[in-house]
Order: sequence, then C-alpha cells, then structure tokens
Amino acid sequence: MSRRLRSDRPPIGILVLAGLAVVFFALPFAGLLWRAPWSDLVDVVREDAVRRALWLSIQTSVLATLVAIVIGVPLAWVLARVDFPFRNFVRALATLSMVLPPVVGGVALFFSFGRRGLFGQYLYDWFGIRLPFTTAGVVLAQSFVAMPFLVLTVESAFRQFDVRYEDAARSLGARRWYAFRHITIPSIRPAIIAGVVLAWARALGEFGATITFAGNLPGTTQTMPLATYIALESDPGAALILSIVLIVVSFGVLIGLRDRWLGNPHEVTRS
Amino acid sequence: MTLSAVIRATRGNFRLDVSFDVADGETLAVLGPNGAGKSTILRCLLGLVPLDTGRIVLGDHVLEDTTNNLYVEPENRRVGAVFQDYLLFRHLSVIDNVAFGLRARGAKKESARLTARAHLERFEVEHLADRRPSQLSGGEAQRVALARALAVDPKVLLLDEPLAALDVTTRRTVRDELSLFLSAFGGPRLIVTHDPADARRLADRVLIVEHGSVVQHGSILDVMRDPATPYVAALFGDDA
Repeated sequence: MSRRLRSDRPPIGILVLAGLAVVFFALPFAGLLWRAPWSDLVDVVREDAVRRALWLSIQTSVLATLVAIVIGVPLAWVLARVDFPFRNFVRALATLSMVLPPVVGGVALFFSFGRRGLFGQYLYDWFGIRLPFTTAGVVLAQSFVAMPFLVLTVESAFRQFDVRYEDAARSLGARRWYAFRHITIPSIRPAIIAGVVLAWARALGEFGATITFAGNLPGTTQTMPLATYIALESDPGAALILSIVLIVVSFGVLIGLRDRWLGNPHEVTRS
Repeated sequence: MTLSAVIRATRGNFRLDVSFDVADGETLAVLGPNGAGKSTILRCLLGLVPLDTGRIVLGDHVLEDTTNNLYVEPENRRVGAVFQDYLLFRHLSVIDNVAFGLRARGAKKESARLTARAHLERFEVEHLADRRPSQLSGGEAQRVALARALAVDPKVLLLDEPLAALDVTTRRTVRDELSLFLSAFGGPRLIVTHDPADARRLADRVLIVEHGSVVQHGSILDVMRDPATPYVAALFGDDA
C-alpha cells in the first residue's frame, strides 16, 4: 500500500507555529523547576501552614465549582432556550466578572456583602451571617469569578443541541424533566465537564477577588495562591515549592479528567 | 381506531389548514414540496405544535380540541413516530434506545431491556443491541427507530421522510422492508414524504399539501389520472 504523503502530512508552517506555542507554554515552567530548592521540598510541604493552605484551596475551589454547577447550568439553559427581554444584558452581566480585573470583583463584593455593605449589613443584623474574612467569603469570591466559564461553555452546548431529540423523547412517553435529565444533559456532557474543569481551575487559581474580599487569614482564607504570594516576600524558595505543588495538582486533574471523560466521543462505552 | 384531524396552526407567517382521516391498517401519505407544512402536520399530531383551532381524535380519545381547551401532552398521546434522520439517542446503545420509552414510563431496567430485545428481534436487528447509533447503516438505523417507536405500543404511527437519509442505492431495498414492517402495525399509519415513489410503494391514499393547504386527496391512481395542480402533475408526470 502506498502512502500518500502529501495529503497525510500536516502543513509545515502550522507545525512550526504550533511547536512555538508549546515552547511558549513550557518555558516558564522550566525556569521555575530549575530554580526550585528541591532539597527543601519535603520540609516545606510538611509545614502546617502549607498543608492548611492546600487543603483550604481544594475545599473552596470544589465548593465554588458546585455552586457554579447548581445555579450556572440552569442559567445557561435559560440563556440558550428561553427568549426573554434583556437577554443580552443578562448574559453580559453573567460574564462581567470574567472580564473585570478580579480586584474590582473583590471590591464590588466588599461593598455589597461586606459587614457595612449594601446587603452585608442585613445579612449580619438579621441572620448573623458574616461573609468577608471567612471561608464562605472565599467560596463566594471564587464562584463569582469562576462561574462565567461554566455558563458560557454550557450555554453554547445547549444552543448546539438539536431539540428534536427532546421531541423524540417526549413522543416516547418522557416528561420534559425526564427528557432533560436523560437526553439533554448526557448529550452535552463533554461541554459540561469542560465547563466544570475551566471553572474549577479558575477558582483554584483565584487571587485578586479573594484577597480583597476575604483577606489573608491562614487556615481560614489563605488559599494556595495567597500563601505563594506572601511567601515570595519572606521565603522565595518556599514560594517556588508552593507553586510546584499547585502546578502538580492542577496538571494532574486536567490530565485525569481529559482521559476519563473527554476521550474519543465515538468510543463505545457501556451504560 | 380511526385518526381524524382538523388542524389549523400558525408558525410565524406560515398558516397550516388541513383535515384528514386515517383508518386502522391504512397508510396515508402526505406529499408536498419543501416548506408545504408536511412536518408541521406531524408536529401537531404529536402535540409539539399547539393548534390555533381544530381537533385531533383517535378512536374514542380526544387528543386535542380547541373548542373546549382540551390538550393532551405529547408524552401521553400514544402517537409513535419515526423522525427524519431517525434521531436515535447517540449516548445510548441500540437496546437502551429501544428501552428508553419503557423506562420513561416507569419500567425497571431489566424488564425494559427484555421487551426492547423482543422488539429488536421483531425487526431482525437483535445482533446490534450493544452498538451505538453512530455505528449503524441507514437501513439498520431505520429498523431501530421503528423498534423504538413501537416498543411503547403506540396507537398511531407517524413517519417523517423515513427514506430521505438513505443513499439511492439502498433506498429501494429499505423501502421494500419498510412496506413489510408497516403492514405489521395494525393502527393508522401516516407517512410524510416529498418522494412520489414512497407514496406509490407504501401508501393506500395520498394527501397532497401545498402552501399549508390540501390541494388534492384520494387514491394514488385517481390523483395520477387527474392531477389538480401543476405540482401534482409534475410529481407523477414522469412515469404516469
């Protein structure tokens, strides 16, 4: 069998540019790995402060992602499927926090949900709920900046979904809600996973809104990005190691999720 | 059980105004050019497009009647359909596609699969049970779509352009198969198509729709002998 090289081989120009992109992504990490004080690795990771920051980061980013799923997926559906006035306005509002500098988001949260904020004062006076400088505040800040990634990804998938599949399901005896859960959601599952990963990654790396709204209290609001930033001033070696821990966790999750759920869509899997 | 329908519906600027009856064991072909409103008729019968005025009755059961605000939801109509492009659920295996309607009506997984398997056997595709819809040929997908529609025991069977997704070389074979399968379903059958060959092979009567209205209605021979419009004449003109 003869190989038709000309049609099989990707254009060389594209390969070169793509290779450049890979180098661009890889080089910063090379520098980081090169300067890391590997001999201190075990000592730094063993430090209580570091372990608490890592654990807090994992907890808050997962909670923030759950918040984004519970209210973000319904919002995405409404934006995609319901025709209502000011829809573009609502969509812009829902993505605003993605475009703004996170510090601005943190300031906005502070004046709304701070102790003397527009709503925060009533939350405290009426229910005794205090959000700023608490772990709940961290989750709020992370959800605020991370949810747009999920909403945008899932909305686009809902738009591309052929609603005739829902019609077919209903003609077979499925109520709307049953068709939504068993046909619509599984059909857009890759987009939902992708949106969840994006939102979670954004929440894990969140810095500006968190430090502005929730402060930097070790054990309560000091997440990994905050701990890394603080360490950079006092102990640059520790900051490098914290960065590496964050990179390993993120990279592991990205690779794991991709293999597990975003693999070949034509692959045969048994339900 | 006879299906009788008086349908008046609007979609944007488009107005649909048709009425017809289909008896048990009879196949009515709805023929017409693209955009004539053929698929809208099916969507009305399925309850997916509400009627402005009119009435859809199946035997003793009124499915929709605008004079007394009666409307039965699509999931309770027992109107089965084979959709254009078949619309098999891509994330489910063939057997779970056929079991879907039974599961949606509350059947347990195992019993639903058992019934589904029997329907796959009826259409001689039980060996495809574990495949994905993307791995089926057009003819196989059509059989699975029929099995899925009939597994929930509908009282009427609708087919929307059932052969349009096939290439010319297999269309004739699949059409012959379909004719056999249709005769095995005892209720009223309604097939929407733009291909006169489908009507000739599969239908007892034809209803010709143009611009949302019925322009001719009768047996194929009558329609061929005395076409009411230039479109009808052209439709059957080639080998009349």
